[in-house]
Amino acid sequence: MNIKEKKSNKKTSSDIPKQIFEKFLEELKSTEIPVEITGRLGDILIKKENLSETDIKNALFSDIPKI
Amino acid sequence: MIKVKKIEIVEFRGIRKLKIDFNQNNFAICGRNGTGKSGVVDALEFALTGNISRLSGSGSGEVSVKEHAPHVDSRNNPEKAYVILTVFIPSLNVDVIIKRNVKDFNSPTITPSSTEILQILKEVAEHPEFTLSRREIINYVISAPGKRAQEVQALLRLDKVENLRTILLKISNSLKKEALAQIKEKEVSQQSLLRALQITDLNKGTLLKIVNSQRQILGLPDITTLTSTTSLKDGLVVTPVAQLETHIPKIQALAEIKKINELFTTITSTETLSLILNIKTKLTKLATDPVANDGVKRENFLKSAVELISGEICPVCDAPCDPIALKKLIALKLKHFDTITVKRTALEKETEPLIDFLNQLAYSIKNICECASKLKPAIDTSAIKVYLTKIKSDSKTLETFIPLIDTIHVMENYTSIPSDVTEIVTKIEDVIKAIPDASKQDTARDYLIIGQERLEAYRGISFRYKQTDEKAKNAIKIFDIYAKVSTEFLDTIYKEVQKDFIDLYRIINKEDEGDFKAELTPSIGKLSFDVDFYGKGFFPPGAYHSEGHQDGMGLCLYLALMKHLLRDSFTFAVLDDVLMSVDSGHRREVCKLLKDQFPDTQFILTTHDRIWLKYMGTSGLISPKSSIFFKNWNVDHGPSEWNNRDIWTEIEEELKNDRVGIAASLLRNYLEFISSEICQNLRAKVEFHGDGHFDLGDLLPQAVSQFKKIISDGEATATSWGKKDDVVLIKERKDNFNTLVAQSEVDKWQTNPAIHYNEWANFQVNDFTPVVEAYRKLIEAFFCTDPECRSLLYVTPLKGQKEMLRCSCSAISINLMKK
Repeated sequence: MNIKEKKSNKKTSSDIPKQIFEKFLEELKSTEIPVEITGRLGDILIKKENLSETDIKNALFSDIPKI
Repeated sequence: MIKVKKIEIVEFRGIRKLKIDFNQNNFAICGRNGTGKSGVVDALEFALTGNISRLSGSGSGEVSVKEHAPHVDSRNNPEKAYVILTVFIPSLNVDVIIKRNVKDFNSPTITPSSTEILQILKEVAEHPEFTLSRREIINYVISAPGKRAQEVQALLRLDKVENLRTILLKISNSLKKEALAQIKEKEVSQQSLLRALQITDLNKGTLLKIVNSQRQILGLPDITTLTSTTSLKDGLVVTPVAQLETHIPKIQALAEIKKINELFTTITSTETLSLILNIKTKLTKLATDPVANDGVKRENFLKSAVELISGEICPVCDAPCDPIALKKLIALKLKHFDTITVKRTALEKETEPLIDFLNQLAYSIKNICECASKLKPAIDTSAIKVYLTKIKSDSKTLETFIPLIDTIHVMENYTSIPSDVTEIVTKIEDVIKAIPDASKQDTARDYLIIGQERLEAYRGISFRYKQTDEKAKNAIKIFDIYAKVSTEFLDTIYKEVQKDFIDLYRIINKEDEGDFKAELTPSIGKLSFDVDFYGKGFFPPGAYHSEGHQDGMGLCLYLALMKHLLRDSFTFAVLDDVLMSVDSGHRREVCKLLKDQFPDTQFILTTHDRIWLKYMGTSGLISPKSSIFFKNWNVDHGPSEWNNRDIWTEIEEELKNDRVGIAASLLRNYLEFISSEICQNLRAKVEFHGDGHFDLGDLLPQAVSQFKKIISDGEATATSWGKKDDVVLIKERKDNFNTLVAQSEVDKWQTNPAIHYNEWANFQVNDFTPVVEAYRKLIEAFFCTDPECRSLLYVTPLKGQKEMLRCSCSAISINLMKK
């Protein structure tokens, strides 16, 4: 057995978070979750390095007016 | 990503000035502990990342890169401490020079510095795990599942994945809690609206009917539909502010007082008393268990303790302990914690009606206090306001529930209503009752105004609840989808890593663990790791496998993870003394594994073990010139290396400067080192020392004696085979060697103190120079004279009957197997 022969053409796994996020957003699109939420989540998950709770809250609820 | 060509280290850590040519090859740095090996590892990491993990990670206390990376003599001049690293980037086919000094460690000079180059170096800087120390191996292999999950997730860059999971869970939990509180608030608001409208249920038809009957009294048109913006008082002439300030809506005020009295009755009823007694008994019992009182803190403490158990020392009190027994004990305590949590949650549920009574009472008392403030003459309501503050606080305490002692205290006083409070309520009621009844029109006006106020409040909380509920449902759904996607994805990754790990480990241990299996099992926040122990079942790696096997597992898991993380970009790794426990039977296999399975990866290996270095060389993992041996270290000069080419020049220079002491020390240290190597190569018998320390007197005479014996054996062998030419050459070598031994007087120093190495430092330059020359010639006799080879002669095989004395290039090849 020679492990080195089993090289794959997969993306490097340093992209694991990115791949998970992309799959997650894809799944969201097939649900009744508003597309605006999916769009905003997509923006920050792909572009932003360090996600905070405020970032996610804004993505999820920023179109809901405060009372 | 990169391969390392050369490094220049100046005034950095324990190093004054050092240059090493790695030439993009695997390279070994050998030396006893404290000779400066880790300084080179630190310099590599610093040049590539601007950081030194040992000075910045957890447990580094007050140590920092900026203050403590420079050599101690340059601690106030961090600009003098720098590292220049030349790397080759295979994907761009370019050499790049990185110069980084400690003062401006975030601003290295990179030449050349195209965008592509900077991007690759940025990626390297984001992967400090290219250096692996034994401490990190421990984290992969024998740490608790939670800690291991953190380490592996950090290495695979999964912390970002876990971070999002945590945030989504936190948001959905917080929204669920908020929605639950708003349901209760909505219920109180609805009851208040029903009281104001004098109806028993919130039905649109019933509401419009009664509201329109009041509107008709005032000559207002009927409301035909009730929408979210409908005003019950639509068309009503606005009441002047001055009139509002003194006006008391008698019917509504009396309805609130009636509600207050009903709640007083409920609160002091036998049913409530019985409920309280029941809860209090259970609470008192629960309160005797410390777990119930500081549960969350205690649970976190215990979980941390489990994660920190890595040896046979208790992580809390440092006392010796049995780690397996300690883990079992903590698991038992955590299980007990779960039982207590179930009990506490049930009691919290039972307490909910008591909280509702207090909230409703607080709402009605607040309303009635507002009415009382308009009464003339005024009634002193201070006692009822104090009571209002108390029941609000009690409600909060019951909701919080912990500390239990506070909850018990509220329970004890729950049914006690101060007499001055009931007296004031009665007084207010009497005064309001005495107010002349309002006209039908005024009553209808009060009805519509207060009804509208309460309707608006109800609409407000209903709207807020609807929003929160919608947000909560979305957040829960989003979390569930994310959890499903990430779990499936990570399961696949861990399965691949698991397979690679098993394959790699089997390569090292194919002789006795060829069917080895392992299981990496991820679960939320944890990563369990169990390994097969010779077909007897799956256990944690630290349970039965030896330290050597554990080290091997750590290396294989690291390599499997790195392979998965970087794929073809895994071109460089530093293994810092990571395999010190691997036994001799597996070292060759480890070297072969690195060489054969990772041919495109440049490994920089440090070891304090010369035998390891030898295995690296003989297995072909490192080439003959790809190693450096640190002989010693001192604070003024840093590490100094053994270099066969210039040790004699170095000694000569010291003698030129009349520094016999330093020259004598150099000669003695070098002879000690090289004698040890010769004894190893010639399989000499050296008297065993339990402390592992052998000085020159133990080694050199044995090396000389063994060489003489082997040469004699070679001569006898050649004679037995009738190889006359060989006999002549060997005899010549033997005679020459005997002359050199005689010149060095090495065989006399045990008996003649005047020539003992301890006396060398007292020699004059003229006396010591011939000693040095004699030893130089003697040591040369153990080497191949071919300038391309220059290897030490060695006997093959390593064990068993000696077959041959030879050098690496085979120019010297003396048969030892007689006919």
